[in-house]
Amino acid sequence: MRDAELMGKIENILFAAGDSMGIGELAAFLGKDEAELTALLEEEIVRREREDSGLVIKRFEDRVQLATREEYAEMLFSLFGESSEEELTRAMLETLSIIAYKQPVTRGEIEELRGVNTSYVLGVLLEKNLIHEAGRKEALGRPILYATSEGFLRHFGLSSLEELPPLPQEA
Amino acid sequence: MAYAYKLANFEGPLDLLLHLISKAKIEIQDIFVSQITEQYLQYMEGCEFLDLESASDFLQMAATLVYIKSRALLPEKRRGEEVDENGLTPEEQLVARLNEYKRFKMVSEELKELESRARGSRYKLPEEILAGAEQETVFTNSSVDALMAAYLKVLAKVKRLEQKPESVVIYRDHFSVKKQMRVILARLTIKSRVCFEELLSEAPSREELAVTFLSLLELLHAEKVSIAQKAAFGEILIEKRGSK
Repeated sequence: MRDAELMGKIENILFAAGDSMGIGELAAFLGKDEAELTALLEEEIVRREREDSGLVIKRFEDRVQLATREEYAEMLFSLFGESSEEELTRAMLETLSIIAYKQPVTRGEIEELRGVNTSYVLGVLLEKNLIHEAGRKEALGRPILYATSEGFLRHFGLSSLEELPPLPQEA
Repeated sequence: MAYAYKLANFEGPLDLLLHLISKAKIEIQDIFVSQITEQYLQYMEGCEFLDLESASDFLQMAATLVYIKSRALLPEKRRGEEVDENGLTPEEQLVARLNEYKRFKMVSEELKELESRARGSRYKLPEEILAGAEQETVFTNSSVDALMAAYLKVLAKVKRLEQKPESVVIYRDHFSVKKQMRVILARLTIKSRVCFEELLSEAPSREELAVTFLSLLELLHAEKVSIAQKAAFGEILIEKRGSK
């Protein structure tokens, strides 16, 4: 059964936060069990998608965030213009897909695959918060490892990395 | 120039090769029995306008292609010897790289579609109340009159500043590096070793300090003196070169 009061509280918290909130964080604050709250939120996400509710809740791994409905994208576009989020270039998309499927991965490994220097692109992706550094590889020179971040999931509308389209089979 | 423009449309040598392969309507593994190498080299002609970084990536591939082409002229026995750690010949390595690159190129096109769909969702920024609650400015004991008075005061100040740009007097330099160098050398003819502080007047100005130090560096550079310092921020000892 839907706990309207609890969901009302969560909606208000998410609205004020703007940013995503950890489900664990919410559970601790509201005095709920994390697994239980996750299940409740899952139901709520589906309900909001299905019914004609105003805002939807998006899930990114173990975090949730309030977002506008995709159906209203055109309306918002005509009212406010282009979203501040810019579309990525081909070089960025290529680099991101290599990181997404091979993470954690070093710059050298990415460049070996793309056949071109990738340091500039990596800098931009870091700045856009689409990737983050994920430690160093225990190899010669201890190169930095890169992995996708929450911003990556948000940018591509994915709840988790498992929702990535399957990588095409090798020919 | 036209070639440079064309190359800019590709994400790198592998991308260009895939383009040529699809244009020739052949499979990746048939690349070496086709005209792809020649076409690739044609693209490379006149690409000196490219920036060095990407030019080197394209050139490296050109070298690999030409190398593979030259291997084809050798008898098969000699050719087989050259394999990498995975037992792949240069030809197989290139085909493997192209196949691998193609997979990611294809999937990045799928990501592009996901991206344009996801751009329909918008998110809002965190509330400012949450970010800086403590820094909020609160006016107490104030009235509209007080605010007006304060505003007029600021206006008057702005006007004053605009009218009279503050005049600045620039004095002639009291010290010059040239003069100070002579002073140091003169001091060293009397005494073979002096410390830096001895070179300065009793209450040195910042200018004197800076100019004296610059002069010392100048003399050091000209190899007229040698200096020694036992510890960081410690006393600087100056000695005339060749005085021993």
